[in-house]
Amino acid sequence: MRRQRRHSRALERDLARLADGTIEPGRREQVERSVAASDELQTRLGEQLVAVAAVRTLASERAPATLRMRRRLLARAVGPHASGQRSSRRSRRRTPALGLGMAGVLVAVVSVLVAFGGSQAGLTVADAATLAVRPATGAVAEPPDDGTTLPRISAAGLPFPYWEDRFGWVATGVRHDDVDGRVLTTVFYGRHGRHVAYTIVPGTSLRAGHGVRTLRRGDLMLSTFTTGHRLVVMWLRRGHTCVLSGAGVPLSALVKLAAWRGHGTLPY
Amino acid sequence: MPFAADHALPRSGAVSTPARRLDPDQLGDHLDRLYRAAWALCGSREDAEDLVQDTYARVLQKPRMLRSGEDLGYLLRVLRNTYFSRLRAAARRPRADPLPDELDRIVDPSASAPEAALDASELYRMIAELPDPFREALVAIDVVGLSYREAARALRVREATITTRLYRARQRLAHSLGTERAAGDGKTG
Repeated sequence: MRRQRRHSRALERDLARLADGTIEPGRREQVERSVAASDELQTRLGEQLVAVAAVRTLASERAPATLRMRRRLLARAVGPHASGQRSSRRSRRRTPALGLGMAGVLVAVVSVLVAFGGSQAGLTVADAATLAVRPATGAVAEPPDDGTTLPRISAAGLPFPYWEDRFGWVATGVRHDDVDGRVLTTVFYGRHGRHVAYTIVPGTSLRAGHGVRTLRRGDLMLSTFTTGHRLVVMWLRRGHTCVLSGAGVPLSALVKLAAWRGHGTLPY
Repeated sequence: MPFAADHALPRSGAVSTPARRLDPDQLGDHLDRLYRAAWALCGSREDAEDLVQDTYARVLQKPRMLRSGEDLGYLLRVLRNTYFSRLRAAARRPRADPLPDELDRIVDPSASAPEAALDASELYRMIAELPDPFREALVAIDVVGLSYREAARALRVREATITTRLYRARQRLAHSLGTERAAGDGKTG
């Protein structure tokens, strides 16, 4: 019984190695002969080959540009520390303190990275949404009475909506980020302690990414997904990507805001 | 049982190779493979990104001494440990409610979701659903591309054991793929 089990495992190992080509040449011939003489072994080898072929298709999958950037920044943050000499007893004694300091640096870097991502090839809607957690760098002005767009703030010729009168969302600030040659403009709005961020990404539309739901409101197509604790809604205005996100804000509210056209004054 | 990521040196084998400091600048060379491994472990692209970032943060926290040529195996081991740490932490956190779904959900014909990408996601999901030991063997050898020996050292099991696990992982994966295809044929037919 035990011997049989051992033989069975040895056969499994042979089939695994035969399938990926790592079997020793001397053994290969023997195993191939056994397989040729057995339908069952052919089936079992076939399963191995199917799996190997399937997994090999994944080899073209590359890490996204945002992850590359995160790694580079992490490495840069710890560079001097990692390459420094720590052979003396004194420096060894200081390790815990250094470790804590480094943990702090890493936390800070990771925080910045969470809020900043993107690269020319791989900028995604999720990357754009991460700008929502960065601070505003400029103020916004109120429009004249009955205005539906914010004055002097636009991206790719598209004005940002003024929602205060209609929905109670007050524009609180704006920021601009240059991500690989694209200037992303984000306007922040607040209401009852909740905040949403509206980013317009000029240029080609962004990849929506994985786990996205598609919704329709009237003739407007929207995509929605969650990233971290934020709910994100993405749609296009004149071919430019608009990203609206918020934490603790219902999807219906985000969709309503996204779909509002300011009585025709907001170009879609 | 995950082992401590801090101890990069293997407990046995290849002890004659001199240890050297892990070069942070060269960690980027392994990013793609680690990302694929992370995706195969988590079954989710987004979680994979976070997992790889946490892994690098962990590795870079202090200098690491490694034997020659085992960077990737070491990184895979830290990735795996980080993955289990995150799982444990996640189990302690309350789960978020699903998205409210009060709007029409429709197929978006303009969505840039090529079939290949969908297939990859499906495949990663299937791998992620394999039992831990099988999945780890498949990730180490087929996804990351370690040799059987390197994988055995990285996962600290015997080479024969990891080969058997790999066989079974592939067998299950092939069955899942077959089931999936059959289901797809049933839908279209």
